[in-house]
Amino acid sequence: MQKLRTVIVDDEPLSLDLLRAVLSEISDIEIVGECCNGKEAVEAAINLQPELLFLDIQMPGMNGFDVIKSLQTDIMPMVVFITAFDQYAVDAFDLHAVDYVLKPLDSERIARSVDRAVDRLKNDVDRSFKSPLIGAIEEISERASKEEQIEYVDSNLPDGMKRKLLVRDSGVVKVIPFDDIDWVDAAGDYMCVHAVGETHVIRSTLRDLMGKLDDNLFVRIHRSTIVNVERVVSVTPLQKGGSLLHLTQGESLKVSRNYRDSIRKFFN
Amino acid sequence: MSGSVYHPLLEMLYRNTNVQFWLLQIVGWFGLSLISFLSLTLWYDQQETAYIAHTLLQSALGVIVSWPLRSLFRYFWNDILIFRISSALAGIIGCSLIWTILRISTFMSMTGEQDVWSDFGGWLFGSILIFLCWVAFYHFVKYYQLLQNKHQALLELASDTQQEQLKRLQAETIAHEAQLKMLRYQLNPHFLFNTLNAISALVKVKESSKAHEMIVQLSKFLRYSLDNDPIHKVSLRQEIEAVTQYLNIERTRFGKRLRLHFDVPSHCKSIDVPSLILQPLAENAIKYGIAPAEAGGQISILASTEGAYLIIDVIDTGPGLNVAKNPIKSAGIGLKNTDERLREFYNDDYEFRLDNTPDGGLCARVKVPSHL
Repeated sequence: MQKLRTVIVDDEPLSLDLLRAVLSEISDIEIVGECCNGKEAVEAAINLQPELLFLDIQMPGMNGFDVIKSLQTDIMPMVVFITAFDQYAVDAFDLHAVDYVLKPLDSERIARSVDRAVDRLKNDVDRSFKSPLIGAIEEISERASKEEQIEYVDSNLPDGMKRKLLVRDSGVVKVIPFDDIDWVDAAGDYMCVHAVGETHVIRSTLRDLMGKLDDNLFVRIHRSTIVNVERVVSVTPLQKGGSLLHLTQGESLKVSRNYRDSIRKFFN
Repeated sequence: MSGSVYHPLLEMLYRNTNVQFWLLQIVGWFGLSLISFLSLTLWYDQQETAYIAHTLLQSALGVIVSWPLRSLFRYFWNDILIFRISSALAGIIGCSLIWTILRISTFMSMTGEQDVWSDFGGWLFGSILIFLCWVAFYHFVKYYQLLQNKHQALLELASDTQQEQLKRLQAETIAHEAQLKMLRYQLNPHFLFNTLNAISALVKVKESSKAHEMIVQLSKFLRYSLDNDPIHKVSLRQEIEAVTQYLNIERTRFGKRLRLHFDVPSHCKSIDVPSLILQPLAENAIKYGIAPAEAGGQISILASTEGAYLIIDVIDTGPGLNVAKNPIKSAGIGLKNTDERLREFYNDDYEFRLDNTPDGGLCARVKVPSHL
């Protein structure tokens, strides 16, 4: 069978060496990229389109969780988290059936993770990999701050508040005007709202949010992704009819072939 | 003793020996005049005012004549016994003579009686007996006081010893708690598992000598943490060695991202400091200064002396801290522990502060007496 295209991410060079050495002994794996921080990991996920990501959680700058939040649901690879020690995290991963391995890395445990990934790729046709990951991340941050909820602004609120989103983020309620939203992607029961360089995770559905957002501004570009067209800086066509949108904050989003017409309308 | 003293006047009487002396003088001498009135004056039926007045006058004279005796005894108090006895005898005889002469001459002039001088021997005999009693009573009171003071001092000493023992036990408990905390802190699971992971990596990529080196460093560092009682001090040289081992382990993990700089002059190295005081500062610098920075950074450990104080700076090139907060209070358990331990060792004679450096990093400064 075909090998799993894999990217490995760890900020410690020795840890990356070990991961590479262990994975190179597994025949199902082809390592297509190595990254030593979160930013590189996001770029590699977009450019290399791997099927599997081994991702260290504790990293400088953008940590493993930030990487997951900022990746588009539609291109999310399968992820195996790597962590040295975090009891809460391990519980949360178990709860949401997210795979994780503990340091020091154990060859047998990693081989089992790879087997599991191979199985999922065969059986999971809808590729909803991001949902359990976000679920686990939310679980962990809820345990850390105990209070992380989202409230939509109800339609019976004053008009001035209607076009705004309230996000409770570690005890502080943030007001995000709809116009500030760069792009949104849905991951099962969760939505990742990307606004002004930050990602807010809320519990809602894409359909619910789409009903509130301005049709002339927000366009669906993939099954689970909508984008604010005013944030698009450039478009790169891809093979097989898809394309890549580059946004003002530096992110890149993939447009699927099925939705290319909706974008074309704006740029023609 | 002092528990039974509840009135301020009694309290003063109890503490002030001058007041005691004069009170006993007046009570004693005028008590004598009462006895003399009840016996002699009544016996000889001399109830005229002059006789009664003389009885009182001779008591007053007694108070004055005996007064210098107190100074005399005080002067010879610490001398050898023979001097004390002879001075006491001389004092008794001298005072008796003076008092007798004064008594007889005032008696004659007040009562108009003649030829009392022929009875001088009898008067003197009485005087000597009275002064002997005075001296005996004076010494009795004096030695009683001394005994009481000694007893009191013994009681205080016993309670002091008990207090001290209690304090020492408390200090030991705190120290042991600190050791436990310290161990749990050093055996920080992140540090330990990440280090084991790095060693495992070195073995896997067949860098066996590097793996060996790292195991030795980790062992040395753990042994240092386990062997050193946090209530004891070690030389700065030992502390620097231990923290170097710790930082070398971290450098193997972080690779080029961690740069180290040491400047510890040799005259500082022999100064004693509490053991395991630097490692939490270095760990803090790693956690906030190096680990979150993609490009890594530098940790500098600088030592210097300023007067009678040793200054140790642990400086990182991280983002520094939010000055609005009290840095040590809002810091993690490691830095709070450092502050607590320094207070245990030096009370308030130390300084532990966190400041932002001009380049934006953080400088943790420990300033402790260098002579202790």
